[in-house]
Amino acid sequence: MSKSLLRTDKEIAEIYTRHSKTVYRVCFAYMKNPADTEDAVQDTFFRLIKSAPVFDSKEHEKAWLIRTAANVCKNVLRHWWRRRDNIEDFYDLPSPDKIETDDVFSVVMELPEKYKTVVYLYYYEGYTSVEIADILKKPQSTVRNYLHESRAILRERLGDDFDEKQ
Amino acid sequence: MISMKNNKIIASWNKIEPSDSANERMLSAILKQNRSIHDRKGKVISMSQTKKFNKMILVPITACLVALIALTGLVGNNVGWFNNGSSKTPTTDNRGQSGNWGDSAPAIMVNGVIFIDTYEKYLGQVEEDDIFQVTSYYDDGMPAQNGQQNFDRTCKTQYVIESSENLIVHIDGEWRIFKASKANTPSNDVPTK
Repeated sequence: MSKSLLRTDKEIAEIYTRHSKTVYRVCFAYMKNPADTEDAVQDTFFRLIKSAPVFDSKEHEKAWLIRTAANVCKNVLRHWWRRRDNIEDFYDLPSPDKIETDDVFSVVMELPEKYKTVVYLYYYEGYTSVEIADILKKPQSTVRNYLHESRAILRERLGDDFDEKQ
Repeated sequence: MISMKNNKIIASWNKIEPSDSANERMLSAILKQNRSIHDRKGKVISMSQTKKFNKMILVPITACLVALIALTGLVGNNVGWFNNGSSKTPTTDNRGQSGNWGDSAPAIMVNGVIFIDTYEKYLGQVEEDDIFQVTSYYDDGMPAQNGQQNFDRTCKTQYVIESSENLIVHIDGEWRIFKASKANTPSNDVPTK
């Protein structure tokens, strides 16, 4: 990214429409409640507005937003940890937007933080481990390791519900 | 590694999405932030543009003013704007004098009348017996006493009274006609020879 640009409201709204669900899900995986997820989503797009990166493609745009959303959430959680707040206290904050989740999702949410985004990107978004490594700026071996470990946990907890197919 | 799919995981994640009201709230906040950034950047741009505009305008204006002042000084000196009516600058000092006539035209007071240089050369003959010599030098404008002049510090300038209207004055190596200033009336005082 060699240059940056200010985007019009229309351009920002288009980017938001294209990727809001993905960003929301990445943020929800970390924040676990709609209120904090909303804040994290907004912060992610605020960063997009402020740093105004130029993207080569829509995939590049999406990857940038996923990585930024993950970083935003990790920063928030780190801040909470510094304040010694109990993160679990924030899981079920009262919110006008109650999100119904199922057992599978609950099990995914119980995965360690570092696995959740990888699982989401791999199983839901369909990225390969190489692509995930590129998006999250992590070594491919680390991503493969995360996937291997999270798969083992999911298989153990979900049993037959965890059926992988190509 | 080839990406695997898990339908149950996909189905469970599909339920995670912002409601319409949440979408509205978030997009509204994001666009508000975008407009605020635009406003701030716009101000910065307009300020820098103003500075650039000022530079673009002020530099040529300053240059023009400097050139105008220089030109005015040059032309003014040549046409005598800064020489209080004198249209001629002294060139040589053939009288062993300062040659600096100051701000006034060369002038002599004779019989209470100030005679001013016309720069017109006198072509006639001057009788030696009729020649007078100036008596004093006055360096601040027009002479104020009889026999006083404002162009010869050595006071060696000679002159001849041709009439009540004209003096013939030896100046710059030549005899020139000085005309009586109309503001004065001749008196009967006789200058010192």
